[in-house]
Amino acid sequence: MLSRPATFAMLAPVLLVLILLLVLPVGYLISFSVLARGTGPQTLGAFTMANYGRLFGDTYYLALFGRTLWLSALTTAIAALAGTCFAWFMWQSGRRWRGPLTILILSPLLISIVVTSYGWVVLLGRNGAINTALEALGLISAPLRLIHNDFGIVVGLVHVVIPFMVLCVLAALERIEAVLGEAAMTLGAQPWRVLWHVILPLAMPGVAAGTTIVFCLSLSAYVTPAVLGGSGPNFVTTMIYDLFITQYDWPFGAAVAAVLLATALAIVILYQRLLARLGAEA
Amino acid sequence: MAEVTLTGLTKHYGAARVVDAVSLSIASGEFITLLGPSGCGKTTTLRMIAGLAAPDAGRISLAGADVTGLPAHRRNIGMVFQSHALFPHMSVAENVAFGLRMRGLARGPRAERAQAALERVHLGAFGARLPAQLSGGQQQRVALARALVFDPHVLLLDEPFGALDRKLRELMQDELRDLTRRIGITAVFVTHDQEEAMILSDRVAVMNAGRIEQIDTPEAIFERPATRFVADFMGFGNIFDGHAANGTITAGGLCLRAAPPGPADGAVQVALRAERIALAAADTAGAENAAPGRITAATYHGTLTTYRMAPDNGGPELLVREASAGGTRFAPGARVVASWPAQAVRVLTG
Repeated sequence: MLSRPATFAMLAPVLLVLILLLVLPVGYLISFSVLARGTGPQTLGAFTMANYGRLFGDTYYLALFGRTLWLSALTTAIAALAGTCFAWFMWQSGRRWRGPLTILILSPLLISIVVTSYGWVVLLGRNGAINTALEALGLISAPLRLIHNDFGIVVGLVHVVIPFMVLCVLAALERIEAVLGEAAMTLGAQPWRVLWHVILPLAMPGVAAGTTIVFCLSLSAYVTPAVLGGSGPNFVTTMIYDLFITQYDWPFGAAVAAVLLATALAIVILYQRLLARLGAEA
Repeated sequence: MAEVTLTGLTKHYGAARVVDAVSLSIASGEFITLLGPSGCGKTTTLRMIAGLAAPDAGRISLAGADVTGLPAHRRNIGMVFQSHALFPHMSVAENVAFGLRMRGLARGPRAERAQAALERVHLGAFGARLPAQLSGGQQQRVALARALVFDPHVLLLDEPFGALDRKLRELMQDELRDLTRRIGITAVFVTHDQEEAMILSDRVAVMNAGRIEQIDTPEAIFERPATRFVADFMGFGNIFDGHAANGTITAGGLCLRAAPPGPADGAVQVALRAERIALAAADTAGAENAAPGRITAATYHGTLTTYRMAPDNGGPELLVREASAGGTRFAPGARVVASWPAQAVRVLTG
């Protein structure tokens, strides 16, 4: 074991980066949230809690928070289901397919999110490939609205976050000894029961880690809702952007950012507690 | 009645034929060991009985029913793996009850039978623990209880004690032998450890290159190996190509008389047990088979001391094993006479 100062020295680089690049700027930004808006475009006024009062007093903002949480949760649920299936498929498929499948699942991360989002526009837009094909087949008479709404946001978000889900679940699956499945079979378990009683419970730590990461990524996503969402603020992040850049209302934007951060933290902490309790019971 | 019957069982991995037309009939209540070096096909044979590997040819029947095409979960077999393969997310009791749960038994009777099975392996108080909280020997006893709790047709064991230290392994061997005899279950045990095979088995099947070389009682295998491979695996130590003429076998310069004698004439292979050769400093009068010579190497192993001896007449070197009695008796270069009874000489058939 390392001595205490040496252990601290190992931590120092990461701590330094976190403090310099995250805690200080974010803390500084959040400090704006308790100030009034100044008289000039980018000036700040006196101490006030009015920004928070405005946020919690207006159902428009609360509804936007609700929408964002709901769409992030939906994205997480879809990514968990699809990602777990895909990870299981990769795990089963053996060495030869592992490489190509890994590249396939990582591909959304290899391309800029802006590009992939506009890719969805090309595919799902009013005159996009899907609508054109459906119309040509005579299945629809008018184009379907597939983007610039919640559907578009969720499709785009799932695409962006699913690699993280798959990699988390795959890492958990890889730690499972193959002999456990065989043991279950010799004890009389049909294949689906091997999956249900042995493989899935042992993959759960991966699903838990994956859902945590994916939920946070979704909640803080900006490009996807900006490109694929409806007009006007459709997500908390796009509203924060709007407040800072368009309306120059830094104090109120900071208050919204602070509440988003607190919400994300609270949900992650509650979720970890819940998982720990479930783990202890099992 | 035969509980397990294998007929012409064959399995290839790529071009390699890992199991080659293995036929075997195991009586109800019999304990059979498949013994052989790694790669001899013993584990693959066991996995085919379990339904974890599909044979390319041949048939398997369990308790009179053909199960060749049946998946593992419908064969009603109990299997113990080398790595114990306990489910890490289930308690010991849940592990043991798993087979009963898969058979649709209600929670109450399930728990009762699991508890009884745990008591049978002296772990009655450990049901609530997780497998990771048990020692290696305890984990393997849980695996045994889990494999036996639903009264399987046959118990299959794949080198179950390979990961345990020597002392614990001996204890587990005793327990396994007592338990299987007491409940009268048919068992197939796989190991590369000939001593383990001797201790546990009613019959031993020695496997080599996918085939059964010899199958017999432990004593017969050990004392009367049929082939060169079996003699070598049973540690005879000295195996020679020889020639028989008028009932006397000569190998190099050695003159060997065997009991029972082999064929009267022609080429033969003979095996001579290293620990049945006696070394003496002076001539040993009246020995049936004797050769004077010189010690070329002496190695002290603790319980045993091994010597290599070059006979004076230019015959092949002899390996001699004797119980250590206060240290090494002869140094390299010492002149000795080696002698052995005719019963220590075995004429091999293949």
